[in-house]
Amino acid sequence: MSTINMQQLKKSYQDIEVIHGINIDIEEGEFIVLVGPSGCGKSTLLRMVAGLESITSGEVKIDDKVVNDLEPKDRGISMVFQNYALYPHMTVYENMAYGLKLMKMPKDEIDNRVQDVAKLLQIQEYLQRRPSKLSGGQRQRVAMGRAIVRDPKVFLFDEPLSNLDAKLRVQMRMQIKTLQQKLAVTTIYVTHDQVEAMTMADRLVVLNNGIAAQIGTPMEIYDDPKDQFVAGFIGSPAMNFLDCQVSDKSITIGQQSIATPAHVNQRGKLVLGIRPEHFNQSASDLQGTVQMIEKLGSNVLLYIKMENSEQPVVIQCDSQSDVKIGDKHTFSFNLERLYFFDTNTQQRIY
Amino acid sequence: MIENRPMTTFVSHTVLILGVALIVFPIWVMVVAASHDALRLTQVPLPLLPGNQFWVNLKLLFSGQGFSAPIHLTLLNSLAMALMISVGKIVISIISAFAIVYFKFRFRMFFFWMIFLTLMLPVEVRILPTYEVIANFGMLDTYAGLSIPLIASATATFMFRQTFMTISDELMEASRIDGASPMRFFFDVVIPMSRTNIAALFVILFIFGWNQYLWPLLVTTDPDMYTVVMSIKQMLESGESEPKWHLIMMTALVAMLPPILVVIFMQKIFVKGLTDSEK
Amino acid sequence: MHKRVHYNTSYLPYLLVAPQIIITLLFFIWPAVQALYQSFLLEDAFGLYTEFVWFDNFTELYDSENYLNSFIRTAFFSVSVAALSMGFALFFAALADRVIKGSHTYRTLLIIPYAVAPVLAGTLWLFLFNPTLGIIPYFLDMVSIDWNHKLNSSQAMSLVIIAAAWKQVSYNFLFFVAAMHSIPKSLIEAAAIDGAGPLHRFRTIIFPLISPTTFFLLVVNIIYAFFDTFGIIHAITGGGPGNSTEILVYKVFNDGFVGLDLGGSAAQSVILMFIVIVLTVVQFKYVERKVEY
Repeated sequence: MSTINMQQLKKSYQDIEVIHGINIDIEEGEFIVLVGPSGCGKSTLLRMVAGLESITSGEVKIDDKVVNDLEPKDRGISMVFQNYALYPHMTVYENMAYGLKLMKMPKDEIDNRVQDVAKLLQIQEYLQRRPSKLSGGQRQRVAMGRAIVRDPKVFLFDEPLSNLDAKLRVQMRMQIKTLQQKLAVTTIYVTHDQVEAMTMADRLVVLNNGIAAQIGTPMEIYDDPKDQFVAGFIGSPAMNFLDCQVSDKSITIGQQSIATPAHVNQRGKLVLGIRPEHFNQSASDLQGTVQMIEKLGSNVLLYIKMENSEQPVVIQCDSQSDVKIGDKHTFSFNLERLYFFDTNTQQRIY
Repeated sequence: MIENRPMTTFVSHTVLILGVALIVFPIWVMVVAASHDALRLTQVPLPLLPGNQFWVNLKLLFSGQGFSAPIHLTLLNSLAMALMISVGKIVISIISAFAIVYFKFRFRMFFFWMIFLTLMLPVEVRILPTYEVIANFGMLDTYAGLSIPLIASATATFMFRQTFMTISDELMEASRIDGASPMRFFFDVVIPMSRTNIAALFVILFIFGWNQYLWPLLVTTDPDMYTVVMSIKQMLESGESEPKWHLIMMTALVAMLPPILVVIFMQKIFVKGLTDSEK
Repeated sequence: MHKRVHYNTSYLPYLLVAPQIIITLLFFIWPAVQALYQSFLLEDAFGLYTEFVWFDNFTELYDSENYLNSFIRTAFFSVSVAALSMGFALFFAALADRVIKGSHTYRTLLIIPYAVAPVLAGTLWLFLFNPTLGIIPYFLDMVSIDWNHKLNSSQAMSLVIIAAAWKQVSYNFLFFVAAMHSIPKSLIEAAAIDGAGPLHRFRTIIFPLISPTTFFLLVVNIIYAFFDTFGIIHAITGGGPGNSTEILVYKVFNDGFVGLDLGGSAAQSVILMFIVIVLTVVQFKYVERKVEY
């Protein structure tokens, strides 16, 4: 169990800066998820903590000790890779024992550890098999076993579930989270899947183009996004963004208007944000034509086109609804759940 | 098999059998000749079926009848040269390839191109000056002189480089986290994963080394250092009388047997290595 | 060109490339430079007298009918060897592709020439075609063809071409087979459904699709014929009768080691080097596109 601090961490390749000063403080035993779209720098950041990428400027501290110049093996970390990175010519046992052998641990201790961890992950029966004879999920567990057996201060996960099918991913998600809680090891987990991020994280770091757009608990980020990027990235289906004009009297979207709620003091040309699950079906302030319907079983997504508006508005409603494509549909916003963003800076102002 | 035309299959087989027979014919004739005595081999037409002198001739050969160098010595020299070339080449190439692929260092590209250059200079093209260098080092008539000039060429390095590029990056990173130094990674992971390549290369290089002719010819003057492949030429130039074909053919058989055996027994690996490495 | 991941040790990579680099410098670069230098000199055999003569050695070669002939001879030789060897190999490969049973045996037998040293191959064919004792001249005599390659230069050339082509058949065969195997079966099946017979399919589908391999083999075969056939020539004809089978690489050996014309031989080496470089560049540039730099 260790604390991790990142202070003003920057990374450049040749002259191109890709990480622009990241500051994160991680508590003991926390499960931190780095999430963001491809290319946002999350893997690079993880690798900088691991010691696989050099740090251009700034500091990484593990347990208050600066580790910038330490080799990965001296930092007390373990990593689980996206492609498992299991040594193909070694058995599962040998894969897990490899790092321990290099640490010159006595043979019986190695055996004890490997057996214990194998039991924990339920992979004892595979110990003598080669990775090529295992399924994706089994390989992933072996990769985790290899990480756990080193008894590290920090776990690092680099998109470990991306190569698994959807059902397996859900199963493994739970397993990893439960395991981490049991072992109470500080963890940094990288993913581009925001569902994974939301369900597993104690705290999230949303990364955008090399900067930390927001750091907070999943619910904080969901309820209280700092800017349009974070608001649109977290939450599925994504938040609707509508250009609007706010005056004292009304909020105008395209040709239609609703009365400006009392608690909204912002004025001018703004971007209105509203999540698909925050619509009021009984009221009918606004209307549009149903462009498309997605039936998901548990609920239905309606894509509504309002006149003078390019993007369809996405509304989530019950599957009982018998709306058809082409119908005129009326709806209202849940006025408690409105967000407003500055058109230029994309910062949240309400 | 697309059309089920038994006729075409029959014809194909027939033609193939004839063709293969044509290719194997010289070998057959050699084996036949090695099994007859000297007298029979001066009578025309020469036999097309084996005789019964095979073991007699073999014994004759090994008793060192009238040749400049006894055959067990030349076989030993050939073996030494072939092994030094194949093992030597594999060793220096694999470590060079490892360095070039996994390390970032100054002059890396420069060394890469220098090694690439060697692809373009088979020994036949630099025989005189290379001979001079060997002579100046006093390496004539030595195993080292026989082998070293032949081990630096680039084909093996490039083949290993290609193989290493297919080893996933994450494997190297995982080993770093496990605490492996570069050389540990090399011995514990890279080499085991290159096993088939090493085996295939060994076959190809062993044959290459065993069959060397021009270079040993130039570099050895002491008959005790002759290789078995070289010694054939001496036997052909017996001067006055017709060469002793039964012994020449027996020698040829003995000389070509090791490479043939290696190729046949390692066939699968060899074929894969040959066609993979050049593509 | 290189991987994303690297080690940062300072001295280790140098240690690892050192053996290859040292040997390359000593036994490749230095001799090549020497050859280049010597080609500009006129020396006597004992090195007592040396004169810098610029390109005289080269112009001498250019003017020498002997050398020009050798050049043409070598070109003729290599094209013939390539054509004969590749032709047979392609034929065998096409047939082997069609039969399933026994293909392993055919392949095993066809590989054998690869393992035979050129000089031994030469010896075998010399024996087969021995003017007095050979089995082939015996049969040729029955159809009134008089065979004596020691006297007849075109027969000598034919013999070395046959021996050289025989040896290369294995290599070409293996590559053609591999190339044919890599053609998706579905293409051939589609053509069959379209009504194309085996011969037609070969002409219009298989042959065009293996053309990269064909081109590759052409270059390799030419390089082989230029350089690896020394043993064959040495065993069968020694360059004769006269000069009729003296190919360029043989001439380098003859002029240098036997005739002791060091400058001339060095100049010839330089020209050969140039030819190899051109051929290798062609091979890499147009064929081995997979090797990235």
